[in-house]
Amino acid sequence: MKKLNSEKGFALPVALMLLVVMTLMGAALVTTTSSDMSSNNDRDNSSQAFYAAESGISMAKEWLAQQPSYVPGSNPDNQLRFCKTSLFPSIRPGQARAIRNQGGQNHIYRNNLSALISASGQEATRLSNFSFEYFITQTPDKNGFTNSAQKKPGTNNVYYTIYSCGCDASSSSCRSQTNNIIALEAIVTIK
Amino acid sequence: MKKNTKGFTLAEVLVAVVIGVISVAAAFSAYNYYTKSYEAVSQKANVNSAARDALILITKDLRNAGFIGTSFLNANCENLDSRTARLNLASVSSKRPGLSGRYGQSDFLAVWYAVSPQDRKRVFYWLVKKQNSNEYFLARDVVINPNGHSRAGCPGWNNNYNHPVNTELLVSHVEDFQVIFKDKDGKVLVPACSTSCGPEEVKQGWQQIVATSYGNMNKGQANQQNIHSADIYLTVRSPKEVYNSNRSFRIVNGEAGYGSNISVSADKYYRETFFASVHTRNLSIPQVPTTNTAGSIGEGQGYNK
Repeated sequence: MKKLNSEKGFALPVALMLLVVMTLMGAALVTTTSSDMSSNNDRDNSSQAFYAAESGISMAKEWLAQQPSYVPGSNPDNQLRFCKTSLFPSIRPGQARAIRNQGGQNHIYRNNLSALISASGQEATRLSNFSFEYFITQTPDKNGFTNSAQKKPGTNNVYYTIYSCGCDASSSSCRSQTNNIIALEAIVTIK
Repeated sequence: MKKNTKGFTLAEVLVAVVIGVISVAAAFSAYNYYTKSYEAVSQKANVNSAARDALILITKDLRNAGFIGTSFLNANCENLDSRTARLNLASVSSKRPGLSGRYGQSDFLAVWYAVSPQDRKRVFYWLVKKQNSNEYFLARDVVINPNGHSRAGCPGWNNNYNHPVNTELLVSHVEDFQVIFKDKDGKVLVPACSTSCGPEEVKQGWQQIVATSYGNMNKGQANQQNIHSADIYLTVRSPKEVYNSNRSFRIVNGEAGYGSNISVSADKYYRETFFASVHTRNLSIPQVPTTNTAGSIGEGQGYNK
């Protein structure tokens, strides 16, 4: 009787080779897709952060309109979490004087978008991952100092500048090194 | 030792060869199909991301367009006053010969805005043909203080300062580029151009002198103060052929008369028109404040990073 213990064959090498090829293809697919996804996410998040900064400006205008008086305080840099004064080239470094609130403190406000927009479920979670922070100074003069009032020509109306930043993380976890931060300024006068 | 005398019959070999050829052909055609479709999808993806990135840049410039800071008129190096600073804000000139792209319909966009109390930035966007190629690119060129430094205490012209980057080519294979300005009622605003206006603006009498609250200007310049929003259309073609059969494409951008309406002869390229609309916050101040902001009026927003 013939012995049937032939060790010849090619199924195993072929299977191994196929496995390697498939794995490489799969890995390539995952890398291209994930880099596309992260760049898309980045774009989405920075445009959402822009609108978060816009919300900050609206909130600041609303706050300004309600104040009986506007007293410049001190440099807010230490109290700011991510909307640092160095993001704004119009302010000379160290010369920002934030407007105070009625309690005599520098008025700095930050919040998540979920606090402004009522939503539930997934949407609420998404909104809680975007935040803004703002402070207000008298509009800086041409040298970047904010301690003296600039007035609208021909009137007695003082110019104020709102500095607002939007961030694609919640206000407590936003970090300037890793998050998308969009900085905006708006100049207003109070009627 | 027994010699191995086993073998295959001719019929067996033939069958094996036929099966082998069929399976190799199937594998090859599948591979071919997948590479082709991958190529097509990646061409579309590249066209998309390049066009989107360019639109982000254009919308950013248009949002800043016309910004004049509160100290700017007292300190700017170009020595602009309240009238001359407003002669150049945001300008579109259409169908300018040599600058209007492959189909002769495209626009030339220029925006100006203050980046500090001393400095003003001028940004141009237009379609340019690259040397040795028949293709048009969307180009962007930035100049700081284009009128030079005429105020005492300002430095002389210096390319490192005034023209820090050479003209950048943002997107390749651009077919058409349109910017349409609208006023606060949504009406198309033509002419809104400051200098070197195109045939369309000439037809609309851009050089007529009109009185504004900042003094006399020509009509094209005066209209810049009324721009409330800008619609941007960018039509891009894939660098390589994508489709198996010829397809025709129609570019329809904006309202007839001022936009473009182009029929492209049928070919195998992929084309897409990208659109963005921007509120030009520094040009036309909103007339109706919302209840939230009724207590304050926006003067301008800018110096944006």
